Amino acid sequence: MLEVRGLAVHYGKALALEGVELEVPEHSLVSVIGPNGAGKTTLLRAISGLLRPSAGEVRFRGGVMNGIPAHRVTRAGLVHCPEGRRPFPEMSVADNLLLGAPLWPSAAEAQARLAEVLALFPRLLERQPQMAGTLSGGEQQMVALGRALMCRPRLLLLDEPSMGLAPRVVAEVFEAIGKIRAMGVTVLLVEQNVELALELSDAVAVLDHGQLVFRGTPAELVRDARLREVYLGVA
Amino acid sequence: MLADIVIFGTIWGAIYTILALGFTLIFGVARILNLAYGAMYLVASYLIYTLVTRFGMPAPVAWLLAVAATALAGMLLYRLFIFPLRDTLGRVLIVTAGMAIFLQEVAVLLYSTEPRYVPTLLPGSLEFLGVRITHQQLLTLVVAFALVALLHLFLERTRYGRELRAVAQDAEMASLMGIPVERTYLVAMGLSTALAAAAGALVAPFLTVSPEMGWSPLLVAFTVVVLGGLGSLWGTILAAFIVAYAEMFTAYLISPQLRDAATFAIMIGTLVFRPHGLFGKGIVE
Amino acid sequence: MDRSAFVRAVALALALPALALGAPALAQTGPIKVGVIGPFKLTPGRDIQEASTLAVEEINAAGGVLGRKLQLVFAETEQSPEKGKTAVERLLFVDKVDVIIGEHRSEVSLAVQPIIAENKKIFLSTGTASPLLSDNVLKDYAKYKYYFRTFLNANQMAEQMQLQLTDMMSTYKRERVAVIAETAVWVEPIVTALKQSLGSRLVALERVSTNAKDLSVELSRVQSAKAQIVFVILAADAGLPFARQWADRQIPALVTGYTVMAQSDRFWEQTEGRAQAFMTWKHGVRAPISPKTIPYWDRYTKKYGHVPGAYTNFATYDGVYILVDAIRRAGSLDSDALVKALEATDHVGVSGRIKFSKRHDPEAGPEFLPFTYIQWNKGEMVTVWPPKMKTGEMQMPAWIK
Ligand SMILES: Nc1ncnc2c1ncn2[C@@H]1O[C@H](COP(=O)(O)OP(=O)(O)OP(=O)(O)O)[C@@H](O)[C@H]1O
Ligand SMILES: [Mg+2]
Repeated sequence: MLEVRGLAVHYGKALALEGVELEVPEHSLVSVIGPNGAGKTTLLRAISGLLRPSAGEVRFRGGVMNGIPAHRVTRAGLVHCPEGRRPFPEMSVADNLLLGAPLWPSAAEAQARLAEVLALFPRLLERQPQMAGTLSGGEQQMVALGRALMCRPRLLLLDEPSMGLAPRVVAEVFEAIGKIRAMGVTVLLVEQNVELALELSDAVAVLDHGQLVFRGTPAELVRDARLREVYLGVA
Repeated sequence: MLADIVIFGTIWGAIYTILALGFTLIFGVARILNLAYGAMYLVASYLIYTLVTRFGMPAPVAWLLAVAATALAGMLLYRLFIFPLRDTLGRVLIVTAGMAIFLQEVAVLLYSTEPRYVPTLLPGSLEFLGVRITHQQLLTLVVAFALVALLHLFLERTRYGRELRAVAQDAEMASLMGIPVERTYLVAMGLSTALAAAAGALVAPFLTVSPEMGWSPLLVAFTVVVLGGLGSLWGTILAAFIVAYAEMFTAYLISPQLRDAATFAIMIGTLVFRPHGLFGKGIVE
Repeated sequence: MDRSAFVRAVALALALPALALGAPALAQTGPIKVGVIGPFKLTPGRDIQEASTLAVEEINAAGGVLGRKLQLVFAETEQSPEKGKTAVERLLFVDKVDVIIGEHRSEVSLAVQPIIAENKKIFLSTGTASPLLSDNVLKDYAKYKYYFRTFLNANQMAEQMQLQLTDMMSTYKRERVAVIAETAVWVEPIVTALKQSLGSRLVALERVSTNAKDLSVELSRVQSAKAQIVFVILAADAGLPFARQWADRQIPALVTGYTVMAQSDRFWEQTEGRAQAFMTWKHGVRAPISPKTIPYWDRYTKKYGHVPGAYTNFATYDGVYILVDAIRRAGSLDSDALVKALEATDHVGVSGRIKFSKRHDPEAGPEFLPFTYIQWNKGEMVTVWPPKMKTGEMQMPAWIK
């Protein structure tokens, strides 16, 4: 579904990504892990059109995505849920969710998806009229995920959805990600919470200093003693 | 005298609300401090004058046409001159100030500095609290409130209003929601200039139309936005009325010549003592 | 190079400056250049331009003066003293005009008067009212004797305006007067005189800036002071909204004084008929002031498609004729000879009979320059004052009994 070929990104002269090769097959969940500053966020931003890569190609469902403005990438079904939740703080929860509604062919389908989202995050149901800026962190993450789902994603890019959340809420979020996958949405997940990520993943890639240092299954990663020590923190 | 202050303060307050809403809209959504905003008010007034007195068009048609044409002109100016420079606030200031002066000079060339007049839509007057109010002024009041209500509904209840607000709050995030940010800026510019044009159209019939008429509304719009802060409809309305009543109090109780000075004092005072406006979310960051 | 070629080259080099020096002498047989200054985009300036053009066309058609034709050179002043100075310097040094006429703004005339005087050229001002200009003639005759004016100064106007106001107050039994006056140099003597003569009958005094756009507050104040007459002195654009709001808000006070916008033939249309019963002093009306007045009015209207607008019109037209008359009598363009000739002027023109006083201002009064008031009535300017010259009866606004 998604193919990344020889991707490189520069910030000015500084190299942030180099030679990244990555595939995300349809209906799979692929995780990208790596230390802080490895370039994970940069990778997602380059895929979704927020950054212009200096080399390489991003193909989504056969079409080349680089150079296409971000809103058109979203409309193609490649939806990016960025780091830091970023709700529209002075808009109600309902309005946040409804922003994606026009991307559906009919109002009925949008309505159906809204019902799915509210079923996924029942907590948002009573919060609909509340300003998104006044929600708790966990609730804001739910809005962010729900809002992304409202954009009719075929592939969802999730950037650290568990960041800054209490363990109980993290569990909830991961449970939701599992359900999202079950809805038929392919997921490319960036996470610091490696353990939980690996549990859900079909494949995993490790990024360090802008380069992919490992691609394989979670089991292969766990088997690799050196990587396990460096990236999983277990001896 | 007090009745005069209250009544005329209310009428001006309504006009200032429209003026300020248009100004804050384009700043809030696209971060464009449009110094040519008052010039749009000027363009609309001269358009109405031309359509009515030179082409003999009925006044209401001329009003609508002028507002629509000004909105289009605003979008064109945005696309041609502001868009290429949008990323630097300083350049936007310079290019929009240049546009304002240019349009003023064009008005001088086409119409000379002699004042022009725009015919009234509604002749006649009535007496209220001992003050005679023209029907035109009442119409202005009603239209101004109707426009504010319509704008509110548009922003709160429609898809495009929602998208405008999203872009204003986080343009990048909005683009990730599939919203075409550039097109939204263009729409905001059109709406903003339409509001300036509407204010011009409402005021022109009881004042005159002259080439330098755009500066005073710019001062007012800027002051209201500084005082009322960004993005809050109620803040803007409240600030618009504060400015209008302050102007009327100054004019009636001290001297009409100090009217602009009162506005200026409010602006400076706010920037010095409450740089974030009345409600904490100011234009100054 | 042979000797003869060298000699010819030297001769040519020597001849060049001589030829250049000879040029002004040659120009003496060309047209007499009259510099005209004013804000030509505004009605008072437009009238200076059009009236001088018409006068010059007539004079040239009749053979000019001293066998030479007149040529007008226009220089725009935009009502700004700075722009005025530049315009006058250009006229004096680039266009090399023989005399300068025109201008309607006192501030501009005051700024250019010394420049013209230092260059010993005649300055015939045809539309400024500040007495300071002719005070200079009295104070420093040697320097300023080149200054003349075909229009009343503000002190003279003040006297005449008071006559009309007093007449109006007694005829219509009105006691309470409000004054709305612009803040400008030429207005001060009038305001001072009104304050003195009205005393407690002056119930409100509002000063407004020359770029005022809206007088609604002043109107409210006039009304709450219970004024029965508003005496207006207003050259500004605000004359238009003032008249519109006066009628719309049915301010219960008669209007008199001096409103420049109300002297324009477009005023009726501009106020959409709200000018009914609006009164103003107007210099230059279609009345039998002199045998020349009505024919000129009609000739002018036919040529330009509109009636004479501002007071500058009659003053400029008469000014050109007075100048030509003086040149003829002086027999030259020498400025000192011209001063003598101008001082001896006794000219019956379209605005009345013009004789210059010691200050080089025209004598005022019914037998010289009459002071006429018009009132808008059903789309027409009707002369209503002084009674000797009126062409119609004074009307009351519909809302005043
Ligand atoms: N806008 C920017 N300008 C310059 N350098 C940047 C910019 N954004 C990121 N970088 C640099 O690029 C590198 C990769 O950053 P990125 O945010 O992609 O890392 P990350 O893997 O997402 O880190 P984290 O786990 O902390 O979110 C870092 O060295 C960072 O400092
Ligand atoms: Mg990151």
